[in-house]
Amino acid sequence: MSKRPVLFDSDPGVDDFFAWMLLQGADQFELKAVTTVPGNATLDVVTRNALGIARLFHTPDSVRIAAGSPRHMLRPLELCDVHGPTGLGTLELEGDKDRLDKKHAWDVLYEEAVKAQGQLEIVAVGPLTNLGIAFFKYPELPGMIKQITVMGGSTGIGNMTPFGEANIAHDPHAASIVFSCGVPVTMVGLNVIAPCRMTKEQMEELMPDDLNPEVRRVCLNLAEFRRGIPLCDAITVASLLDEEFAEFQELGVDIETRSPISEGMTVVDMMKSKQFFADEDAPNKVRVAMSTNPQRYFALFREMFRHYCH
Amino acid sequence: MSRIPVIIDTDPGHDDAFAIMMALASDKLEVKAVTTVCGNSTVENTTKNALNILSLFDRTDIPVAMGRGDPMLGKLDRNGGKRVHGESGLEGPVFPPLQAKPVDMNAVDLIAKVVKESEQKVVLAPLGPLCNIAAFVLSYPELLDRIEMISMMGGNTFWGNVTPGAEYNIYVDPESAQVVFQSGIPIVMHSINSVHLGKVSDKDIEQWRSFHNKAGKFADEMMEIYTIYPKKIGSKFYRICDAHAIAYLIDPSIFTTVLTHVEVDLCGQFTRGRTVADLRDKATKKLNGAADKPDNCHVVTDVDSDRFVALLTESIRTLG
Repeated sequence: MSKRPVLFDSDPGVDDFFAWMLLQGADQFELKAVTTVPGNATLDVVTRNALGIARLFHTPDSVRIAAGSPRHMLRPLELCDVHGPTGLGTLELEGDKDRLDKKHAWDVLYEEAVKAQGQLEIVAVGPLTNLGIAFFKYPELPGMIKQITVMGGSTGIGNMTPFGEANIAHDPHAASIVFSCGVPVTMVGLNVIAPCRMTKEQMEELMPDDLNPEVRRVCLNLAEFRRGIPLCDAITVASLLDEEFAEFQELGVDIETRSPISEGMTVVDMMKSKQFFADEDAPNKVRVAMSTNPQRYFALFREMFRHYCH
Repeated sequence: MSRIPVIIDTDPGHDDAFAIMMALASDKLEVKAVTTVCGNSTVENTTKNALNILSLFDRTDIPVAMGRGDPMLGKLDRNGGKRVHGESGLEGPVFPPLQAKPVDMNAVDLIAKVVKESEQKVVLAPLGPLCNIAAFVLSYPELLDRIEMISMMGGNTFWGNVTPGAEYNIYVDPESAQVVFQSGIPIVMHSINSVHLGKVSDKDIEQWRSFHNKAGKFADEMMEIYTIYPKKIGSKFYRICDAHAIAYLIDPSIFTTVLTHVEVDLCGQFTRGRTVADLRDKATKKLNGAADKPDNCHVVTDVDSDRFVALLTESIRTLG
């Protein structure tokens, strides 16, 4: 069977690192491109991290790495403070600067969509700015994408604001474009991450003896920096790799963009309100993750490490 | 021990009727007045329904005043209430011809009169949109410290009901709700999400019926209609939303609350009428610069369903 072509849009980022690692190590996927977006750190920093990660993971040269937008669509740039001075804690990963694609993220996305002939999938684990720009610039693009898996939002409590999760709240306008563009969207939000805590010690137990020593050192360094806080982005990729890892419900989701106190909230229609009170069937049905299984998550990590024993 | 003086501001409403029954049955509460408001139906209908309920239980000694018929801004949209409570706001039970009348007094003035005449501080129990309570807050600033607390049903901390982002009572009049949340009066908020935790089943309704009393028959007649909407959305349980606000006054230990900052969303395209309650942990609040907002509301986060339903059932049994 041919591998599923996938583009990874990311702001590396500690949890982005592990998400990338899972995705590149998965047999059923072929990573076509990595595009970067500010969020966990500035565009320059996350792009440098992406190049460093590509070197560490021996990411094949065929995988394009392209920088995205330095700013969000409308909101001023704000950064998420929890990823340390380099975005990867205190680690500085050396990469090959010449490797960076000359084109912008949205143009790379478009080209890869054309090449994949309707089969391209997107995994987006940062603010959705690059995707928003891509769909805004190329109105025909939604018809060319198979599905989008997003780390972002919540059916409950938020982090950046009381009910706004950072990836969505940093660029709610881009999120609104993505969630209503017509491409099937899967949302893995803050409501499902808590069960998947993994400490440094637990991660170490999952590592094979012949794991590449540099990979081992970096992984454990990042795990220590993270102190067991769930790796949201890796959990999102896990939901794609193992169909039984997460449970989903098809629900209407709107992104609030106009309210100063609720901006960036993923408003999930849990009670079919639109149908019952407004005679309206929510058009933008999203596959919303409702629960996750930590045992399967740990198993995915164990399997993943075996791909990095070179 | 003296009873707690309480004013019920209400838009009956099936669940309002249960709340009123619970208050009448309790020896801990003294219902000083009932003020009516638009919401589940027009204020004319909700006033008639309130009078019918009090007449049924021979409590026409409690003054009823008709309050606002529209929210602070704009006009009442009758659509939402009708879908749950029917045309009259209290479809199901049939009452004898109504003799009782509302007092010839503005509802806001009746609240003030009761507050002024009471030796003890008075508790307000708003069960509908907060129009009357906001009008009271704005027009009697000198009486606010005579209010012991507000135990209200309304708002949503997670999903909404009338829209995905908002709960009906607040959605009808978000501006009034904002006035109330900013009033400084201690508030306990029974949101649609917390009242959802109090689960009434068909078995409970059967038990109410088995009492063979007035309250049980009335409850049974109401549930014929009030179970239609939950059944339609696939629920096996029914929520007697407004009764939570009264149950809290009788036995607060049924409820778990968190004191935090709540404000009403007035602007959202999808979130207008949402009570935004900051339920994040302290560290996350601090990291994101929200630690300085005042804690103005006790948000109910958990309900002991068995004890809540037991209190409801006991109220129906003892009311007669």
